[in-house]
Amino acid sequence: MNLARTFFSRWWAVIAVLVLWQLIVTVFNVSQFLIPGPVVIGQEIARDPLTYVAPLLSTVRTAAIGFVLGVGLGYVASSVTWLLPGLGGVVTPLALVVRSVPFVALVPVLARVFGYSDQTAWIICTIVCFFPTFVLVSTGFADVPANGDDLFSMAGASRLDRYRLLAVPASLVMLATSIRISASTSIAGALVAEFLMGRPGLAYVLSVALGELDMKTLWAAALIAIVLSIVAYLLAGQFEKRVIARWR
Amino acid sequence: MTNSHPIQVAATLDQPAISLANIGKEFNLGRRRVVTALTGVTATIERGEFVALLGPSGCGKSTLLRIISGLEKPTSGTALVEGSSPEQLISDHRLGFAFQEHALLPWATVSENIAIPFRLARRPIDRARVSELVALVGLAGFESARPKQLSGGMRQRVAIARSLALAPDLLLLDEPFGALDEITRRRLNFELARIWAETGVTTVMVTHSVDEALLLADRIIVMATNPGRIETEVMVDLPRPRTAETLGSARFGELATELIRLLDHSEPSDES
Amino acid sequence: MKRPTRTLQMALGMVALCVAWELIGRLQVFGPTFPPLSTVFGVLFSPDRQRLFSSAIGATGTSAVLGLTIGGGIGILIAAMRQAITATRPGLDRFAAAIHAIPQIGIAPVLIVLLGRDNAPIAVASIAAFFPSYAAATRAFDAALTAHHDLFTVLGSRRSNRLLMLELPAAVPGLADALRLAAPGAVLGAVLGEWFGAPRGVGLLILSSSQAYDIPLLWASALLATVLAMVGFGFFTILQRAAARRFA
Ligand SMILES: Nc1ncnc2c1ncn2[C@@H]1O[C@H](COP(=O)(O)OP(=O)(O)O)[C@@H](O)[C@H]1O
Ligand SMILES: [Mg+2]
Repeated sequence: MNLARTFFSRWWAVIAVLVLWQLIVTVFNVSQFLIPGPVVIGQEIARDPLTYVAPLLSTVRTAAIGFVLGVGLGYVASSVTWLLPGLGGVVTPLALVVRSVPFVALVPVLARVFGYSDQTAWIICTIVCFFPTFVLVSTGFADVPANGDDLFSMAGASRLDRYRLLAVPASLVMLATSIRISASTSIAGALVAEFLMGRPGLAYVLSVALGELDMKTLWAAALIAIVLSIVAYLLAGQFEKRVIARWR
Repeated sequence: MTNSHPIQVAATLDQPAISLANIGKEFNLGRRRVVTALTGVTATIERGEFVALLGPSGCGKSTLLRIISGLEKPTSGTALVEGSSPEQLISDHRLGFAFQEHALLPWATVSENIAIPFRLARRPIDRARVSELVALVGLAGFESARPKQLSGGMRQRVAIARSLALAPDLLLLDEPFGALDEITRRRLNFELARIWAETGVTTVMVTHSVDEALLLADRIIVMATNPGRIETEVMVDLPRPRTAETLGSARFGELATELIRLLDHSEPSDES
Repeated sequence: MKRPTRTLQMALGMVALCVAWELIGRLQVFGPTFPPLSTVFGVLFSPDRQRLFSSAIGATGTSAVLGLTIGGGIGILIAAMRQAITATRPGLDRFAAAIHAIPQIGIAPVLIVLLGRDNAPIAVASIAAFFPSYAAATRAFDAALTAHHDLFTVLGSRRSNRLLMLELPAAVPGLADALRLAAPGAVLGAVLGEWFGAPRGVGLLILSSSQAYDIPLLWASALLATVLAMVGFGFFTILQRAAARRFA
């Protein structure tokens, strides 16, 4: 009962949009061909799930590879620049600038530079996750000076000890934030890369369906892509909340 | 409450302006931690009286003032203002309040800030009254200045003018000069004494300055801390108008010594 | 203390990036798909391309401004509704998060079908502008100080007066901030919307030059998109400063 109320208080607006959409389509007898309602789209997905499962998995795979590599390398890179501060002075400004280069400019260029292939899609997803992670985690590390005159260094702790015992815990909240951000950007990056390079995946289904004016498939693939992104976003948001509650 | 209107009016005629009966206030800090800000506060304030709440910081002065104003509800006991609830006074727009931080709207001019009570009461703005108030607090010529162009003392004057705009039945002042330097503060004390004498409004002022309390109040309620409570009351029998000379008078000195002794006494002892 | 160093780092990074770009291009590290900066500038400022670029900027700029007006405006309106009716808050927050999580590339094909290729960039720009504007406006409506709220309470203010005379004016700097944060998104949303067959625009330039292997033009138009987004941000930053001076 209470659970239902909480659920409704959080989701009423989303539900309202879906219901309104269905109502408008039904009441005004809108062409099912052009704008199918949520129910018809759901039926379409249920009727032929295999059309969507393979592209969905392919998109998720590209996104996951880029996510893991991007966040992982981003964390490693900011660790290295913390351990070797001289390096940070060179790399950090570059990362700040590259981070503010938008998707729609970056991805087409990268696609041409590395050539149209699955590996390029991975590289693109990696890059779009790498830079935010690097910049954010570095600010987390920055709270702990690399050469402190605190209790730790007086007790003779090496820089690696300081990294393990001070810097890593200080960076965890920012890592969680990077994970939240990268969860959505990796999916968006995967979709854009698939679309531009014509690689198998949800975006490819979308562009083929658009070319053939296959509306049901178009709507179904769009809805799946949207739901996938929302789920990833919410899960990652929950994860971030947990980490913040634990580490701050 | 309102079903016997004539009787209510008759009752309010000999009601005190404020009556506080056994008021207690606790704040829930979460994780089952609770602070007792006030306990067993009983007091009566008559119409037209100027009462100062004096006490060390943290003794619940602001909390008591906020309970009188209706901003805060007591956990136990009752607060009656003009015979009814503080909310009644608020909805009749008969309350004036000046905060420690002036709380002027930064985007509005001096005149606009002073006129706000009219607009919130949905009454036409009485331009003549606004200019009169500007003059009363000595800010003629600054009508269209914005708060950030004014000094701290000038901002507090605007805040006082605003609190008087609708000629309230009750004026509550929470350390209105607390953030000012000593010289400005003293000057505004004398001005407030003059304004109060002109309006005769029932006033309760929170302060932790002995001099300020003695210059302004008819009666001083001395409060103590841990838990916040009323320690005692002191009648101020200094003649009015009180001026710079009052500060040097023997009676002023006696009362000040007495109050300082009481405040000292009200500090929690070391072993508590 | 922290801001000037950030700005300085950005400036340094910008210079370093330009130098690295030129060198990588000159030395052909990535082959012909990575032209030096000077070549890209040559294309960007070549006289016979000015008509092309200015028409593209005009189209994308118009879509972005309209998208910012629509998406940013709706974001602010919904945030105002959230402020006025407390019970709607969790649901509207979730709704806004869902809109935010929608991948633009996933919704753009559907918008093409619904609204046509001319309007799709505006629609994508609106969706992109919505969330940053909503999020900043939500913060903006909470900007009024507790002391001001107390003042309005003791003066017996009605809810509507509190909204109009306190919460709205106090929110003005924050609302300008909302537009500032939404502006780059609107530009990039417009660019992405143009990928799906818009007749003009920077997005079309990116896509068509990529497909035509016109590498210098691809880089030039990607750079153009980035600069446009930054210009939008800069313009509203100036506006926001002015609003902050007047209302705080
Ligand atoms: N909103 C609140 N939440 C929790 N504790 C409060 C709150 N307001 C006041 N208190 C506590 O109540 C006590 C009295 O506070 P206050 O009335 O502000 O004292 P004074 O004005 O005399 O300095 C203090 O211990 C303070 O921490
Ligand atoms: Mg106080």
